[in-house]
Amino acid sequence: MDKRLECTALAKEHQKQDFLDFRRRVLDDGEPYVIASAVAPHEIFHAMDIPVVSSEWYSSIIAAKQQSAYYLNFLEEKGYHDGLPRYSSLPMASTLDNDPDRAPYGGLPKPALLVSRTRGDYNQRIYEQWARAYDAPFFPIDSPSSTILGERWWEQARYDWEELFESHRLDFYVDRLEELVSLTEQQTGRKFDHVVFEEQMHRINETGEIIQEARDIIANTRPCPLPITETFPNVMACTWDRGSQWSLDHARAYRDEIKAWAEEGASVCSEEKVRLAWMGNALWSNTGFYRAFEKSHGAVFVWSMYTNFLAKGYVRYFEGDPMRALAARHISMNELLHLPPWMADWVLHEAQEMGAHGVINLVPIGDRLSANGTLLAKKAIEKAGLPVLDISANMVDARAWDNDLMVEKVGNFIEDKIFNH
Amino acid sequence: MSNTKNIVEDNLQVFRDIYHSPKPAAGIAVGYLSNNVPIELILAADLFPLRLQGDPNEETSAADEYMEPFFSGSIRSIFQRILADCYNNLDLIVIPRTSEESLQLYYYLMEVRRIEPRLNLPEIHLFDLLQTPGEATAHYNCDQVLNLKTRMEELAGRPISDQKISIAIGQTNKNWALLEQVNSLRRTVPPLISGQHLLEIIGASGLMPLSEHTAKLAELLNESESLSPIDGVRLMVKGQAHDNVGFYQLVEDLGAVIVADDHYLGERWFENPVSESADPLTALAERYHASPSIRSYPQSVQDQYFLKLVKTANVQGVIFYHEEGDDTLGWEYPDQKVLLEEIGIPSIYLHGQSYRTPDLAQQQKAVKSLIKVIGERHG
Repeated sequence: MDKRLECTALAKEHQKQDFLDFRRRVLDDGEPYVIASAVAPHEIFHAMDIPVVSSEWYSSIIAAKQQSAYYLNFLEEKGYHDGLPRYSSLPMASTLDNDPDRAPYGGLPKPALLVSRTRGDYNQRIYEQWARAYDAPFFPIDSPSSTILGERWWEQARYDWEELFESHRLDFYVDRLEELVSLTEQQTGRKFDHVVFEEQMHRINETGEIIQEARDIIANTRPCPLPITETFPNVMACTWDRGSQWSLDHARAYRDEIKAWAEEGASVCSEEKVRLAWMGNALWSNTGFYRAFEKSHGAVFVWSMYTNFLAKGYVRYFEGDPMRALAARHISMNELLHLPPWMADWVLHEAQEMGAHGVINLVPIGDRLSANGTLLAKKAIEKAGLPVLDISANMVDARAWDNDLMVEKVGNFIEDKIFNH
Repeated sequence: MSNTKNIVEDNLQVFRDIYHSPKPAAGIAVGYLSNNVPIELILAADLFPLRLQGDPNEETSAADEYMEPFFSGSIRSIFQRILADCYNNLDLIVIPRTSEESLQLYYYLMEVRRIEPRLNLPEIHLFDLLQTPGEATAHYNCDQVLNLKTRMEELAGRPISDQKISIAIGQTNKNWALLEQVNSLRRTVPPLISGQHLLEIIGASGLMPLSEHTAKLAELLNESESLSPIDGVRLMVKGQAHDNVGFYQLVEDLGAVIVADDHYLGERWFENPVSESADPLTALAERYHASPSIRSYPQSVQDQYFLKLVKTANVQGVIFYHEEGDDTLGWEYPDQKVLLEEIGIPSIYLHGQSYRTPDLAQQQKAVKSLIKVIGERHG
């Protein structure tokens, strides 16, 4: 099936307009903006009507425009060895390269501020150097670590997040967020609007619930009504623009269209035999890979974390303290996806509910934060009866990807581990 | 050989023996990783602090079952040793959150305990030390120090007084001050002690009773006038911490002396004594907040420290040593190389080095080339 959701085009158009709006406001009118990592609290900037660019989003644009190889070679020529993390370093490379003709959208201009969680050990180093290249301040959000990793986090995180994420950690994180608000006010001259912020936080919760409804339709429909590649742009657009009325409206349109497709009997593959779940970050440099097994094996990817992480990773109900709820959303965002047992338990739960017969596990090269815990997760999922295939790749670096080999590997996995069992 | 020479040799041999074959601890022992755990609290509880150290000569098949290939050799080896029961005499292991790998080790141990209950693994405690600057971090770290003190009290079965902590602070400060004096022996021109010896001496401090280590240091220093000058170009080793003396030996066998190092198992182990005038718990929190780690921030401050060390130690060349799987130190290297070039100090970059099976021929070739460049510059 090559038909696209109408809302996919709308999501892409929205992102394009968003960027045009960004260029008008920032480049033409000189408004301040912020560069922030994907897991930074963008909500703060949204509440201050400050444009924010996610470094991971810009990374994916660089990859989609086939520029990642150039920038990776550029970094290696500058002396950064080729084993360093790549996903988060491409935007910095484009800044150091300082070639507006090559950089997507002419490159990112000087921001008022750069913000990132001190994820892993290297992220703060990249951001420190990146900030220096811009001569702009960097605000690192240090993050206390969980001492316990409770079971079934996706249930506890909605209401019982105080216990799940531990009060002493949240106290610290709220303090940091309030400091970030002050610094942003200083740097941009904008005021943080508490009323707008609280409204946005409620809208994010509502958006998450709708995304979950969309996921439930996919889970309960046989054959699968839409390709997984349709979920990526729609859910991600809602995630990047979370808290806005557009995001909420778009989530509704997305859910309704999937529902209509399901009712009409639309299918990715009418001869669907195998349903697969995808574990780990998406293969942004080659999303066509997700469709490669429909004709050959009747195999359809039905789930990835992008399908409903906006529901499980973002929804945090609160009464009276939205800043603490925001802290609870962000304090363990990566850990939910990449720590054993949190990762394995959720992937297994989702794969089972989606009716998946097997799991393809992307073990990223050069990005250990996304690869931690994969062996333990594989053991746990296989122990529960689902076969798992590890494939190694870099999400944005097409240089290391051998498509024929990977298609063969997954094909063999389907035949050996699913058809023959 | 003179009498004093014998005393010096004997002391060095004691450190070497302990470093290479530590004896099991008597009584309640608390294991810890790296230089970021306030061992003063373990000492104040009258418990034995034992630094956990990897061993490049040991296989890691048990760890490989659970741990991905990109983990450093040292953490993998420590994980292996825990799984293989080498630390079954420990009552607790304190793991600091001062590297992503040590944090992951904590989670992996928790998960292995969950899925493999038959394994008899020691209890673990996460010392969640944060290292960004600022008041909020300082307060958070004070709470973490207090939590660790409580954990030690539970283990010891009695409260720990401030006085006991102050005494322990005095003990570690004294040990570090003597280590600093020994370190100054390799700063002389020519140096009187090798980098290899100092690595063994520092390493032994975490593997034997601190009071014994301090006493041996004092004996060594008392007889230090009998040490012979060592010829060789003056090099610095920077980057990955070294779990054994293999690389130091290789470098010094080629006619160089490692007169400075910038990694936590080298001279950064004993920098910055704990304040003895402030409240002891606050003083500990402050000292360990600033203790160097791979998460030290900002990097620019660490780079200036490095540059100052190069100058004060009269370093003639620097060896950057990064292990395979490195995802962090490599971000520092280009800036640090430029800083060296600006003051005319040559360097070599050994990255992607294997922990267990390094390419010795490649290392020798690179170090020889550095020595040659230095020789040509200095005539």
